[in-house]
Amino acid sequence: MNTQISLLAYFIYLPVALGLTITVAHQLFKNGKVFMLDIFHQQADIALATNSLFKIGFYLLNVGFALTIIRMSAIVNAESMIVKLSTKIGGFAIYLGIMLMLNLYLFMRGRKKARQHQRELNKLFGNSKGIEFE
Amino acid sequence: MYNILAYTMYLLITSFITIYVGYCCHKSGGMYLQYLLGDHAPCQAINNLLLCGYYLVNIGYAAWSLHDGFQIGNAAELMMTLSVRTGSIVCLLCVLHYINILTFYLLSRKYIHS
Repeated sequence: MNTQISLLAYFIYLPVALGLTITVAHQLFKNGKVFMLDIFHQQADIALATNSLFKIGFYLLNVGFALTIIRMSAIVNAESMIVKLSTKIGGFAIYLGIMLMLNLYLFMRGRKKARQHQRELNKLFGNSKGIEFE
Repeated sequence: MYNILAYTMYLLITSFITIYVGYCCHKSGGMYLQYLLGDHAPCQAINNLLLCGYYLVNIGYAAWSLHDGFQIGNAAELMMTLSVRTGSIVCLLCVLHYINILTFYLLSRKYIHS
């Protein structure tokens, strides 16, 4: 009885956690392409390559974490299974949210840096042109 | 019985993940290296050597980490042990991946400044 309930808990937890990870990663990196294009000054091939590198990293981190925290102790009946499962899935969802925000912050920061760089270049280019004209 | 099943599944899952992630990183990593190090650096050679070293380290570690053996009595324990072991391998892969990206980034800054 105990073993069967534990097994059921694992079989519920794994698809939910992995599905959540895949959905979040898909959303994040579908919208992250825009930021990557800005960061790499509209060079599409490099932006997409870097995007997919970061996507691999995100998947690895979150799937690895989801699998590592699977241990659920003392599941004796259906009630304790529901309590344990929802605690675990809720905690994982909060963790995923924090990761999403962290990634978004990194994208924003990269974009700001890239724009600053571009502005400085423009200024330099404009100045040198002005001097040539005089 | 459960132990043998667990070893087989563990080795299959970890080597599949390692090889698939290696293939993906090799494919998009070449472009990234080219961008960071410039056209005159031997990017393809660096990329191939990195892939080779990565396979050796990860498949080697996955196999080595069986040294303490599994103690599995029932199906729930099988599921839990497999998940925890696979999860720790995936976390290790992730740490290596980020170290790799960071190293090339730092290396490229040095390369450009010198």
